[in-house]
Amino acid sequence: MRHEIEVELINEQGMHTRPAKLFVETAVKFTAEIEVSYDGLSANGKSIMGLLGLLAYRGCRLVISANGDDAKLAVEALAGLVNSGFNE
Amino acid sequence: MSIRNVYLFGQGVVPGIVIGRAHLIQGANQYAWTQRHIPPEECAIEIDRLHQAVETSWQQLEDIKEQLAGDSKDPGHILEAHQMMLRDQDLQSSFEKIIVSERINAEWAVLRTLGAWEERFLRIENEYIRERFSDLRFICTRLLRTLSGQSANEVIAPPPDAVIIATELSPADTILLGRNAVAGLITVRGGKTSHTVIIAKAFEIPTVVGVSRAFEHVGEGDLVVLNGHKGEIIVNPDAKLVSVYRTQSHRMIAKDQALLEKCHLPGETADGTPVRVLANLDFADEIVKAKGHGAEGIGLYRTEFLFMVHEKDIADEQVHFQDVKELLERWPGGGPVTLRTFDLGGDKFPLTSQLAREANPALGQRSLRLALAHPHIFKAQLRGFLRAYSLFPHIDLRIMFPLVCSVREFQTAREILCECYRELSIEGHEIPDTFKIGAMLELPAALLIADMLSRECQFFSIGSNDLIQYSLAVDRGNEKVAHMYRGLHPGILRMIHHAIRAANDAGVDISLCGDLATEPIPALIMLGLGLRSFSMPPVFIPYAKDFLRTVQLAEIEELTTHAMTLPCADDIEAFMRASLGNRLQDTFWSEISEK
Repeated sequence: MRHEIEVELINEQGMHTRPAKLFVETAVKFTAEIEVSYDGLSANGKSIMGLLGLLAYRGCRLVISANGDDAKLAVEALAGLVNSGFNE
Repeated sequence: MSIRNVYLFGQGVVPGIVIGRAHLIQGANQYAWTQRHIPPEECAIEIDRLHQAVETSWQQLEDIKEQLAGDSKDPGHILEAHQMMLRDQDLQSSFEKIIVSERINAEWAVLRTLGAWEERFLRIENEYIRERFSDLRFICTRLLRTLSGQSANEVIAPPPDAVIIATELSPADTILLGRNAVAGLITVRGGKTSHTVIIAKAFEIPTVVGVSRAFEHVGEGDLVVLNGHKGEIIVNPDAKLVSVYRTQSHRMIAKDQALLEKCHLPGETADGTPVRVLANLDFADEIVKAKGHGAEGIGLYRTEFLFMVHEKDIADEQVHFQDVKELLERWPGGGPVTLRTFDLGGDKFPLTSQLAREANPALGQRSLRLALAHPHIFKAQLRGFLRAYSLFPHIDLRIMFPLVCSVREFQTAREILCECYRELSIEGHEIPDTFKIGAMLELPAALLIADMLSRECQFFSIGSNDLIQYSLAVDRGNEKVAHMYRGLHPGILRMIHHAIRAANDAGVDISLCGDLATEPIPALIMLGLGLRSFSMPPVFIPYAKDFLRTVQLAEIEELTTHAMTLPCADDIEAFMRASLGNRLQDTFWSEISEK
């Protein structure tokens, strides 16, 4: 099973340390493989360095894709997190 | 014998006054480690060393976190992120790849990886993202310390009551320092959003950042006075200064509380003459502090720091919009909010500047001149200001140009502002035209033509620091002549008198926002000369209001009339001191500001 969604980073600080940490903490709850792409780069959604390395800031659009049994749930949870502005 | 009383300036980010012995913490490159090529069979050993270092470092952070447990100021989430970064698979595999492909030892692999990431991170122009590179640098430094056999948690143990001097500090280091009861922190690098500043605030460690020349002037064990209110450092202060600051730091705490309780009373003299007391701010979030200290408005909002942290983003309108929006949305209204356009150059170069250095920057293309020479940067800021204002039209917004030199120059700057206004209106922004446009009076010539400028400007603010520097030809950062930097010089007082009279005659609002406003004797003389508005760092406001309530206007006017006949700054000071007697000794206001 593969699911994909596009989201916009709306929090002021973009994909900085705290949001990246929250993203990973959510991603590792799922068994699906998770990939986040932006601007031609893609990163393992369970790697904080990978996410920080996307260098994505506020207003950037990310594609979150997941592959695995719980892919749909994973994508929904992660998109929810991003759309909430990482509760900032 | 070392030179006495060397003044250094930075950004005061956590207030408080402390005296302590300097303890220097050098950056990552000061640690000793070996960097060598290895034979293929040693790759596995190096990878293993690296894994162990990762686990040891992870545990070190865990120990710090445990020490923090139950602390309500818990900044533990930052440490957790660092732990997550240490164990990150991507990072570990890039270490391993480099060890194998380049045949280098673990230490070298860490440095190489750091370098590769640095190149990537620093290419991006977003401040928040760029600053995250410092997180990676912190964990790599920790790994290097561990690999070279040093305990990363111990390296830092400072003597008690030390004032730490560092290029920059990791959050973990800051926490350890906070728990070790260091007196204060001074860093060479600065940054408003840095984790270090957030933690220093939480631990209430007086902190000054962006002191670029700290390592040139401070040696291990030097006595240091750190004034976190003013962003001022005094290296090797003499005995008199030490005793002034010592008394002050002890007694301030108790007195502070009492004054804060009545700081919301309106500013006025004993006879009820209203005197407006405004705040000088550097950051939008300080507005809460300003309000809490009884500010009746914002007399000066500096925007330079924004330029320093954003570096390449200096022409980004959105950055200015966002910053001023944050300021205005926290201001409950009532009283002016005065935004000063960027005052860069001279002693305030951005950290990385695309602007050429000049032989004599104080007399060069700085401040408003720089703005007029780079209209796209200037307009980005002005448009940001106006767009933010359009969201809060009820606020008494004022836009102020610094270092205005002539009527024509002011008109040129105002025309650019009006152009921005027209463009934004065409683009569909509804911006009220009720904001005011004014000038900083800080060049001697500008004060002398205040009557002519008053036909153009809707308000004035006297900037005493530059005024004194330019009038007396004294750099207060130069210890050989700093004693000649005197705000009470009769020449300075006469120029200010002329400007106050011109403004009052023309009905143009005039305020004073330099350091002179924070010193009781000069401020009282300004009051006697007809000034009714002062702007100062928030921390001074409760003291200033308290002191003003002890004086009668008629008495101050009489004293001022006599003071203006005296030929020297020392005479004026001695006369005022003798006349005010105990009231001056009783005010902590004078203690905070006295040098």
